[in-house]
Amino acid sequence: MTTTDPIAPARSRLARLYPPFATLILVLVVGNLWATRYRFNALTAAQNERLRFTQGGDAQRDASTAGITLAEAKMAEQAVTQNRITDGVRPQLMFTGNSQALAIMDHKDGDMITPQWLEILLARKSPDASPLYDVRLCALPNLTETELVIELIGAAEHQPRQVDVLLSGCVLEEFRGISVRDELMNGATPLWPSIDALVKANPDLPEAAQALKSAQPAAGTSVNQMHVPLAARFDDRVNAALDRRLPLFAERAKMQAQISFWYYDLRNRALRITTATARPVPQQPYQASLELLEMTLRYARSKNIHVVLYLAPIRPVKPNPNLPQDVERFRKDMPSLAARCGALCLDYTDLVPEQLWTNYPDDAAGTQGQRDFAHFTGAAHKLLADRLMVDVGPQLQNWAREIKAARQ
Amino acid sequence: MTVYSVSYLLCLAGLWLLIMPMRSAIVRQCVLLAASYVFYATHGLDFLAVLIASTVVNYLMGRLLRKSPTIGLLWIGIALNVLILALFKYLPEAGHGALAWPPYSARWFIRPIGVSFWTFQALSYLFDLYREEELDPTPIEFALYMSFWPTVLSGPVCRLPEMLPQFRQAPGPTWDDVSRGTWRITIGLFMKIVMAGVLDQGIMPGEGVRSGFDLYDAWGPLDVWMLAVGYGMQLYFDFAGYSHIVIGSARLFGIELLENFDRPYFSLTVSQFWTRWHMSLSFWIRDYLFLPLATLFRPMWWRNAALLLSMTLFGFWHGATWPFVLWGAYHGVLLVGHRLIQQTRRRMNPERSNNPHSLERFITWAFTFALICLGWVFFRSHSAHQAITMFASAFDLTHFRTHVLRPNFYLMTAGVLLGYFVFSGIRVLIERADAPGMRRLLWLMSPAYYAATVLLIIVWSKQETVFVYFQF
Repeated sequence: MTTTDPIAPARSRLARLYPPFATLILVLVVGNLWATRYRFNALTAAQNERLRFTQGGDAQRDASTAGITLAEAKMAEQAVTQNRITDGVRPQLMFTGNSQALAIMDHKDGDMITPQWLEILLARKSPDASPLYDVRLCALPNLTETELVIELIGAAEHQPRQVDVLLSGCVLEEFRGISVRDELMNGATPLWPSIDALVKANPDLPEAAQALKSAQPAAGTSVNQMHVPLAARFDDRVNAALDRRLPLFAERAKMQAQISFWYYDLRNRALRITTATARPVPQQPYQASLELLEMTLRYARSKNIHVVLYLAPIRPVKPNPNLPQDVERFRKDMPSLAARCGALCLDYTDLVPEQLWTNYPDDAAGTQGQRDFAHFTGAAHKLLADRLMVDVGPQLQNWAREIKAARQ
Repeated sequence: MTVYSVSYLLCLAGLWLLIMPMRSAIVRQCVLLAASYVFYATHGLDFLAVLIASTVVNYLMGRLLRKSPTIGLLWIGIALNVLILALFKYLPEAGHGALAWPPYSARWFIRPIGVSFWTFQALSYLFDLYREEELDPTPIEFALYMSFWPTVLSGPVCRLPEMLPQFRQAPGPTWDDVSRGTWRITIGLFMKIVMAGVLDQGIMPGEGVRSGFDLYDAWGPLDVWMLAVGYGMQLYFDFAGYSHIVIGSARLFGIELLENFDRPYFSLTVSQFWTRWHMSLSFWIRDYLFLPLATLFRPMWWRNAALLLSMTLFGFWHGATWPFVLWGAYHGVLLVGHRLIQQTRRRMNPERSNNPHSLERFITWAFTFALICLGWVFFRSHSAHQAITMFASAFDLTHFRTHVLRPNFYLMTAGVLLGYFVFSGIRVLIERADAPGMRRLLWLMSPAYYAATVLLIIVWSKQETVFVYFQF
């Protein structure tokens, strides 16, 4: 005779329901807690608390300590305002570079970044102290030369045009890579016909062509077949609704960045990688970056855009992540490239003295007390702007007059 | 609509709730067919038109073959399907691909997604009828077989004798179906979105397989080997992950599809690999191409030639480009080589044990893994020139110290590879340990494991992702 357990079916049902329900609860609780508790700033996480990325609102507040007028503070604000509105008459100066152009170490009241100072200093040279240029800050952390081509074409083809003069800080370290970040690639879809035309017009720059070709969405796959407007729209709506309701979904990108940060932190600790560890620039990405820059300069020339390049300052200490032979090669190649393409090239490699650089804080995760080789202080930004005014100020004034005259 | 999008998962849940209470198999078939057509139409109405036309033609051919299974009718059926493939797969490709010989523009031709998959399903139906298998699908059943949404885009390549009884079964899905289906969708999403995505793009942009293949043209030997391994892992996670999702989706409705992968990188020989990688297609090639060809003539050289030809056509199935053809031929050569070595060994030492010791197994495994990964260089290359350059670089020992890829790529690939084998090993150990205490502990802990997997899927779901096998 067999005995039957009267609560066995209920127990078995409970056993079945336990994993899915417990999983769902864990995902919602842990995920949302993670998303809300640990607010992660992808821009500064890999850097440190002492590093400040300039945002709108700083300059006006700091106007008195910076020794500038309120009108100048407004100009400085405008220089870092995204999607700055242009009147279509005033010349446009596009300022690009990597995070060095955006960030200030050990920020003090009154500190501003180079493009802000540049707008003010240029206005001071104009007869009525009105802005000579609309300065547009288009720098991005780790900006590659592939991204610079895309940014320039985007600004040149914008109506009204957003670039008459390109002032670009060239950073040796960024010549180690030639990829394009997703957000820039996605926004660049309408530009691909122009980019394709540029590639075709420059058959002598194969490495640049290859980099741009592979930057196009899902090169080598039939991504167009996957572009389904109806389904994509529906998916976007569902995602937007989830983003609105659940922090877990809204903060997805930041959470992914945080995982990547943990990975790099772990890697650095395990392999004893420090900020001073040598970072050689391999020949192939370097060559491709040079070609991409040449393509940028040729494009600028074809669109009557004036170009000023400057070799970004390097911290003058040893050990240094930049290898001397790489720096030498860079300082030799860049001026000849600029001369070939009718651009100005300024070598500011040794411009910023050691005392205007700083170290990471002693409690910074992964970089405790190490030297920061990428970013400098507010005083160095001012120094860079002053030097630019000395070296190309008069030239910028002439160009501004010519552009205005041509428009009127 | 892609099977790894949020909207797909919502639609899947909605369809499941709609179908669950249905008791009539015919009504269920009609709803599944309508859902399949809507799903396919989201990729293009013109694609759907081609699929329906192919369905009608093949169904009518099937009826004729059932009445009189003659070789002439079979050849007409084959020709019609080859024509569909030529018109809608190879002609558009030829205009752009490496075999760019035709003097016309191919841009006017549409290229329905999955055309090679459902055409092969149609062909297997005709072959089975010619072999006088008892198949009598209704038009609805055959249309569902051709367009069933989990398989229509990228397989698994199913066969009607296995699908028909499942379409006709009256009871709905069991609890086991739902639980296994959900788990397979979850693990598939993890493999596809997280693992394949990370390998493709890298932890940071420009540090993944994609950049390694697309941005450079002067690789060192280590670069090529690491790229080959990285891409092999990416393709596995991508396609096996996709297969998990679609097999799981079908399982939610009580339908068991053919398996596509069975731990292929654990294979000890290339022959074994082809019984574990893209199984639904490799078995199709074996049953409907290789075996009929190999049995045409008796001599051994002919069998080897048939194998080489079958594998080359297998490569050509992926696309009319030289890299795919070379990849197929490469595997043909490996398989023939393996056969010849086996025959020679048997002749030299007939008493030899079939169970080699651990070291020999490890060496055989490592050699097989290396050869298979090297083959992926052909598969991923944009041109024959790139493939041959990379292949040559892999053995260029004079530049062994040269490498152009970022150290982070090496680190990531090595980490993923190690993680995969360690994780797979742990799984095998757990499966073997049949202690009740262990089972209970695993059951208790399972939500933590599932939750971590789901969280990673959600976190990575914002990243752009493409499916490699959509192009076939």
